[in-house]
Order: sequence, then structure tokens, then C-alpha cells
Amino acid sequence: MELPNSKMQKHVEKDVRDRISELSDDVLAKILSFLPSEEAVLKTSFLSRRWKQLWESLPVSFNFDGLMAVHYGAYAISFDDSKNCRRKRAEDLKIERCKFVGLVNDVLIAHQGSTIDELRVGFYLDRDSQRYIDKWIETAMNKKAKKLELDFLYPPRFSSMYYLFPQTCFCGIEFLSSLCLKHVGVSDVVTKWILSNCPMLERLHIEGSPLLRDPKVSGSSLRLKHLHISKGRYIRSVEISAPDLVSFEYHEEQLLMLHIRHAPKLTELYYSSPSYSIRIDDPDSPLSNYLPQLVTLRLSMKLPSGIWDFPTCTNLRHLSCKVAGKRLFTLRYLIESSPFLHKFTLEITNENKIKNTLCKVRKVVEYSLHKHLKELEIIGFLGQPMEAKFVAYLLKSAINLEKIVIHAAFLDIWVREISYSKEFAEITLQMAHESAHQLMEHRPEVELVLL
Amino acid sequence: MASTLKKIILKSCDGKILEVEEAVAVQSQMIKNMIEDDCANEEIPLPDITGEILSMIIEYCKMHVDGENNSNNELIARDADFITRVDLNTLYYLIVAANFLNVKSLLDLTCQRVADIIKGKSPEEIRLTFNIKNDFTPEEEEEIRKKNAWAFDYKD
Repeated sequence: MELPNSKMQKHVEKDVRDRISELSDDVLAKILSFLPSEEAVLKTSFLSRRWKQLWESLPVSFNFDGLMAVHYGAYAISFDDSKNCRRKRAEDLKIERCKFVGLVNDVLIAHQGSTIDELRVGFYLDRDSQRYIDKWIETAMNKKAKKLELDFLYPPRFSSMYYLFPQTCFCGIEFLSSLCLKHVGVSDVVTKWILSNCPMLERLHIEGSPLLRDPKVSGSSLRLKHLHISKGRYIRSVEISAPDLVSFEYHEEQLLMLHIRHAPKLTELYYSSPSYSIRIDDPDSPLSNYLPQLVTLRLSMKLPSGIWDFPTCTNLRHLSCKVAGKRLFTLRYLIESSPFLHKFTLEITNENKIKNTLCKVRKVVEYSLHKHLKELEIIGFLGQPMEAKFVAYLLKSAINLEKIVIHAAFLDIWVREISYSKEFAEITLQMAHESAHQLMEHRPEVELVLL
Repeated sequence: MASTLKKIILKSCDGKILEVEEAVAVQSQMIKNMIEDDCANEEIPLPDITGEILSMIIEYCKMHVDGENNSNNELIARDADFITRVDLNTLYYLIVAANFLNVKSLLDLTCQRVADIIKGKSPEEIRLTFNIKNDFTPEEEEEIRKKNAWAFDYKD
């Protein structure tokens, strides 16, 4: 990194001017943009008055990602879970946590600017660091942060150990437009408090809070556009009444009551329910009323068997389904109920046995034509009989198809966990490719991208 | 094409005159704008850029025009070679000139270089490297320290 001594010497003799400080603010800001803002603040805020003043006006986003510095493996669940090992890990974690908290403190203190655009903190943190995290939030709010993300990565063992989102009306909290809380303790009361104290809030993401029971997201003056609720183990019901809500993402771990009272602008729904095959089209389901107005629908669920009487979705343009390879054909009811569908993405999770035989594509008996479907994307395609049959159906039905992207992914996790051999993986991949090519024989005009 | 052979004449602040092919000169957004506005038919005086720096910038732009068909990695390697040959003093002048002429890729490259020099150094080392004088009064330093009291107990 150092410059050759001889050259350095020459210039030191000739010139000891501090030229870097003479550069314009724009250029200095550009130089600093090539450094992580955390490092830049710590190292250059107090070089001289010039630099202190520079930082006073510089917009900045902070992303404290503890994992960048710490090796993940050291704290992930290990199979070697002997007592000593656990104790050692806990001690290591404590030391790293102390260092991390110290770093965030130092940087936020050193920062001279009057505004912070965004604060993101990602590390294994819990209630032990409550007062420091409270202070970070206060600092960010006082500096009118628009985005705040706390991702505490790994749920503490007990609910009582979760960091609790403070119910304090920090000065400047009214500027917050995006709030993302992962593995942070957020109760129903706090959710309500957040919604009524952050009038600019457009995005709210609450993930893995053990304190949520019956959250209510409602208010006639809400500006909320995007709502995400997931991994709340004890959630019993969710109530929504939000006039501007556009997208709602909802990962359900258990059966619960969902009340969508008022969401006239809702056009994007991401619905994930891996353990139950709940029929969102059920007339009793509050979602069924909203299906006709959806433009984007992403589903991750077990497919029902038999006929699926799906309501007609004339607005649906993008459909994305993550399903097990079993009942693929149930999806045709969904596709056929969406006459203007433009793009269909299918992700197949082949967690079951893989048969290593190339199947012959039999004739698909009946299909109706789909004129608007232009793009298909199949993820996790292995050319299994059912998959091949389903893709053949799609190719026949979508007469105006322009492009098909096939990811023939043989996941590493299968080699590790189901102990398939590498050779098996290679052969399977090859077969998937062959199967894809075979399927495309009748549609040479469609662009095929094979990944 | 005839237009690519057109020459642009640049004049440095120390009177050096350089003829540059248009395709090379338009790497500078400033010159490109001048050509588009039809203001580049006579020599263009560049008041703050010496002949030495101007030659380097033209060398850099030429390298990028000639290397258009090369792979990205090759260009990155050439950029690295170009920038590591430059001493600190020249680097400042290059930054000022790249900023004035608005050659985005060169401005990025030179600023990245300064950032790389800062990386891994303590504030005191940074001051030494760039001749930055600590001009805070003792009172101001005390003030900075006071403001930061809330986290200091964490370290004890």
C-alpha cells in the first residue's frame, strides 16, 4: 500500500501541502464512499476541522453486519454439542458481542452529521445489550433516519431474553418510513404504538417475535404500503385495515385467524404455509375476497388434491408457486383461472425420493389454451415424470410463450443430507437437461434458457 | 467512419498542445458535451491541467478505447497497473483533472486508490500520509470527548 520511498521522499521535500483536504466536498465524499461508512467515520471524522465539517453535511447509511467480522460457523448450532464446547462458544460469543457493541457505539458517537439515512444492525444481540441498542435507535431517530433494520439473527433461548423494542417517542421518529425487526421482541401493544407514532411508515416487517399474539394493523390514516409478518410462534390472529396497503407477506406456522377488514389497494400477496394445505380460495378465508384484485401472487404451500375451484383472477399477471413435486397438476386450476397471467414461476422442492430414470412424455389428455402467458420459469427441475408432464402441459397450453427459463438445480444439501453421491447428482442434472431439450422439441420458437 | 478520425486539440496550462482522436476525447463527458454543442472545433484550453497530467489522462482514455473488446478482468488489471505507478502527488492532480474533465471511470479509479491508501491506517497514520494537520484547539478536543460520554462506560 505504501508508495516507494524514493518517490515519497522527493515529494516530501518538494511539497508538504495537504492537497487531499483541498479537494472539493464532492470528491472527498466519493473517496469515502469506497470505504465502509463505519470505518470511514471512525478514521476520518476528527482528522482536522475540514474533515469534521465535511462529515457534518455528508449523508450516510450505516450497515453494521457483525457476521462480516465473525465467522458464522462459530455460533451456528453445532452437532458437537458437548458441555465444554457449548461453554466455549458462549464465551466467544460474549467477547465478540462486546466488541461489536463497542464498535457501533464508537461509530455512532463519532458521526458528526445531522442526518443518518439508514441504520442496519445485524448480530447476535439480546436483552443484555438493551440500553445500548435503545441508544442507537435514539441516535438514528434524532438524526431523522428513514430506514431502521434490527436483525438479531438467532432467537435467544427464552422469550424473556429478547431485546424489546422501546416504546419511547424519540425525537425524529416521525421520519421513519421503513422498519424491519427480526428476532426482536415486539408485542401487540408495541405494534400499535409504532403504527400510531410513525405517520410516515410505509414498510413494516416483523419476523420472529415471540410476543405477538393478536396484532392489529389498522388505522384510517395509515400510510403503510408493505406489511410482512412471519415466524411468530404464538400469533393467534392478525387484523388488517390499511387503506394504502399494496403488499402483504405472511408466513404462517400454524392455523390462525386472519381478518382483512379493509385493504382496497392490495395487489401483491405472498402467502406461505408449509405445514398446512390451507385453501386460500375457501369462501370462508378472508383472502378469497382479495384474490380477484391481485396482480402478483406468490404461494408456498402444500397443494390440495382433486379439483381446485379457484375464483377467476382477471388482474393476476405474476404467479409464483413453491410446491412439492407431488400434485403439480392442481396448479392448472390456478393458471386456468388467471386468463391474463403473463409470467409463471414454479419452484419445485423435491424433498422426496428422486427416481433416476428418464421419463417419456406421454400425451397430455386435455388442456385449454392460454394466450397471455409469455414467460415461464421452472426452478429445481429434475425431469421427474410428474415435472416433465406438467411442463409439457404448460408448453402446449401457452401458445404465445416467448421464453422459458429452467434451473435444473441439484441442491448440495441433498448430497450432504440424503447422501446422494456426486455421480448421482451429475447424472441427474444431465437427465434434467436432456428432459428439458426433449420437451422443447415441439416448441423451437420459444427461447430456452437452461441453467 | 470519418467522424472517429476527427481530431480534438487540447491545450494544457503550461502551453503543451495535444491532438487526440475524438473517440478517445469523448471519454471525457465535458469534451463530449462541447463536441455536441459544436464548441470543440478550435483548441480547448484546460486552465488547471499540466501537460504531464494531460498526457497521462489521454494514455488512460486511449487504453480504455483500445481495450473496449478486452475482457473486464483484463481492463481491471490494466487499471491497477496504471494507478499503482502513480505517486501520491500525481494522484491528487489526476483526481482534480478527472473531476474537471468528467472522466467517470478515472475518477472512480483514483478515488478508490485514495480509499485503499486510507484503509488499514489509524487516523494518525492517515494524517502523516497525507500531511493533514490536526488543527483542533485543546478546548475543541475536550468538547468532542465530552459529547461522547454515553458509551465510554462500556469499555471499562
